[in-house]
Amino acid sequence: MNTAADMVDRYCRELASIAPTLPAAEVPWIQQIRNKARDDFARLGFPTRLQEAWHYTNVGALQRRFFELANSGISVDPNAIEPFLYPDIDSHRLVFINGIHAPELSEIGTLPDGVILENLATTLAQTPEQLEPFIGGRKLPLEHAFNALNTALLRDGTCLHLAPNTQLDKPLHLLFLSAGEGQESCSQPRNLILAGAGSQAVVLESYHSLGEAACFTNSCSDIILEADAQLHHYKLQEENRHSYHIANLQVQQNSGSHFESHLLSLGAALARHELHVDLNGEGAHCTLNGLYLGNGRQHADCHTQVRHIHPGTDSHQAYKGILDGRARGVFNGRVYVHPQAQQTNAEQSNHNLLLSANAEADTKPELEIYADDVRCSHGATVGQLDEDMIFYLRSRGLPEDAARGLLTLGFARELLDRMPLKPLSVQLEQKITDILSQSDGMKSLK
Amino acid sequence: MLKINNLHVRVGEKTILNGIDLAVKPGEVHAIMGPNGSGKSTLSHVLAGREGYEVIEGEVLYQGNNLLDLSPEARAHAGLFLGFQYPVEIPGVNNMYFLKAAINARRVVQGRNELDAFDFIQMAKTKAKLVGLDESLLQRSVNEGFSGGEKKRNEIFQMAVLEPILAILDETDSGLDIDALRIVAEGVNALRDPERSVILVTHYQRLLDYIVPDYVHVLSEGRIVRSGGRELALTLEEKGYGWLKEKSPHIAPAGPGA
Repeated sequence: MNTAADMVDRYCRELASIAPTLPAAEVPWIQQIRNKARDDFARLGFPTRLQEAWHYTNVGALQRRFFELANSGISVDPNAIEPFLYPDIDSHRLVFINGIHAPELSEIGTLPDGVILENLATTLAQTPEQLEPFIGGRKLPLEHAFNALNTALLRDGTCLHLAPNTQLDKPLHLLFLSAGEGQESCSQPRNLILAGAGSQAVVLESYHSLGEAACFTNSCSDIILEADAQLHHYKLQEENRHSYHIANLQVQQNSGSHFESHLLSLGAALARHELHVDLNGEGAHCTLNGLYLGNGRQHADCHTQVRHIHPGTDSHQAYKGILDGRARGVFNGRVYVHPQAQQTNAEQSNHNLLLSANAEADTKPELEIYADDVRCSHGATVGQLDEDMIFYLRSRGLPEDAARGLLTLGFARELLDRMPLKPLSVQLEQKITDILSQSDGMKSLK
Repeated sequence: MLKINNLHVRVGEKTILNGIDLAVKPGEVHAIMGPNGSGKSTLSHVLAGREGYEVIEGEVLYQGNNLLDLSPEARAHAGLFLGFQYPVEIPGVNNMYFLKAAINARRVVQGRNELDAFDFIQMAKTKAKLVGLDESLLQRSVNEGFSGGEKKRNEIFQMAVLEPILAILDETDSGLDIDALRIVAEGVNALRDPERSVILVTHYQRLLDYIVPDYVHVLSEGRIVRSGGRELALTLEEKGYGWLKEKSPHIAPAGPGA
C-alpha cells in the first residue's frame, strides 16, 4: 500500500520525466517556475484535514491512486461531445480532452479585433511572455498543493486576452472532458484571462466525463480584470460519480471592474471549488453565486475568499446546497477587510436544504475585518423544506411529493434566476430537475 | 354540504376547540367571529387538513364523507379551499406554474384532461381581471415581495381559478386598508354562487359590510356561543366581545340550517 508521500513522489518523478516534452521547456523562466512549483508540491504534499482550509474535506481517497499525467492522444468522436453543447447559445468553443486542447472538436470562429483566444500550449510555445502578468511575478512559494501541482505541469488550457474596450461578441465555452480509456487520467488545465480596461466577456467552463472511469481534474483559472472590465464567469461541474474535481479560480480586480461568478456543481465523488477574489481598486465589485447538489456519498465543497484591499469595494456571495442520501456539502466563505478598506460592503449567505436524515452540511462563514467603516453581513442556514410552504401547496391540490419537488426546485431556481445568460439557466434547470426527480419523494418532477 | 358535529381539537396539551357544531348548506355564507385566541384559525386549519392538530372528539362531514380522513390535497380536489390569513412567500416557485400544477392535479384525480398552457393562461388572465389582480404578479414567485393587499388578492385569485365548492377565508380582511378590503370583497362577491358556500373567519365586522353573510356565529373559548343573522355582527361591533361573556357565558349553540 502506497503512503501519501510515495504518491507525491511518484507525481514528482513523472513531472520531471515529462518536463522536457512540455511546451516552452526551453524557456528558462518557465522552466524555473515549473521546477519551483514541483518542489513546492513535494514539500506540501496533499492537504490533510489537520489543515484549517481542508478540515471538512478529506482527499485521502484521491491520493491513494495515481492518475496518469501523460494521457494525450485519446481521440474522441465529434458526436460524443454533442450532449455537452448548448445549441441555443452561439459561442466560441474550445474543447479539451484530459486537459489537452482538441482542435478538431473546437470551434473558435471569428474573433473581434483586439481579442486573442488560443490554447495555452500555443501561448507557451510562441509568446510565453503573455504569462508574465499571471505567474511571472510569483516570487513567493506556492502554499497550495493543488495549485503547485497544476503549475508544475503548466501544459495546456486557455489563454484569453481582451484589449482595452473590446467586447467578446459571444460567450466563450470551455469544454473540459475527462476520458479514461482503460486508465485513470488526470486533467490539469490552466486558464488565463486578461481583460483589459473596459473590456467585457462571458465565459463558461464546463466539466464532464466521457464514460465511467474515475478521473482527476485539477483545474486552475487565473483572471485579471483591469479597470472597469466586466466578466461573467459560469461554471458547470458534471463529472461522473467516481471522479475527483479540484478547482482553483483566482481573480484580481482593479477599480470599477465587475466579476460575476455562477457555479453549479452536480457531479464527481468529491468536488472542491475554490474561488479567491482580490478587490484591489475603488468600485471593484464581485457577485459570487453557487449551487451544489449531492446524493449518494458525494462530497461538494465551496471555498471562497474575498479580500477587500482597497476602500469602496463590494462583494455579494450567495451559495446554496441541496443534499440527499449521505451526501455532504461544505461552504467555507472568508471575507477579509484590509485596514485601509473603508466603505467596504460585503454580504454573504449560505443556505442548505437537507433532503435526507443522513445528509450533512457544514457551513463556515469567516469575517476578518480590520477597518471600522464597513457593512458586512452573513447568514447561514441548514434545514428541511418549510412545512408551512408544503401545506400551502397541498391545500391548493398539489400532492405532497409534487409540493416537495416544486419547493426544492424553487430553492435552486432562486440562484438560476440570477444568471443573465437565460438559455443556459433554462438548460441547467432541466439538469437539476432530472437529478432531483431521482430522489425519493420527488418522482413527480419527471 | 358541511356538517361539523361536536368537534374537539387539541394542539399539544392544550384543547383549543371544545365542541363545535356547525352546518353549512350550498350557497350559504357564514361568518365566524370571535376574539383573539377563541379558536377561529384552528377551525380553519383543521378543516383544511393542517398537521399538528389532534381531533379528540367529534366529526366533520363534507358532502356526506368524513373530511378528516382526507389529505389536504384530497380535500382540495374535493372542492375545499382555504384562504390563508398569512399567505406564505415561496421564492423560486412561479405563481402561474404552481396554479397550473394545482389545477391539473385536481383534473387528473377527476379523470379529466389536463389544461394546456394556452387555455390555462387565458383562464387565469380572465380571473385576475375579475379579482383586480395585477397581471404582472402572475409571473412572479408565489407571494414573494407582494404587499399585504396583493397577497390577499392573490388568495382570492387562486380561489377564482380553483372554483371551490366550499371556501374558508381565514381573516382575509386583516392587514387591509379600506380600498384593498373593498376590492377583495368584490372578488369574493363575484364568486358567490348558489352552489358555492363560504365561511368567513374574521375578527372585525367591517368585512361584513362588504360581504353580507347569511349567518353569523360567535366563537369563544373554542365553542360557538351565539349564532344569529347579520345583526349579531352589528351588536358585537357596538358592544364588543366582552358583552358576550357578561351576558351569556354558556349559551347553547343554535345551529342555523342544521
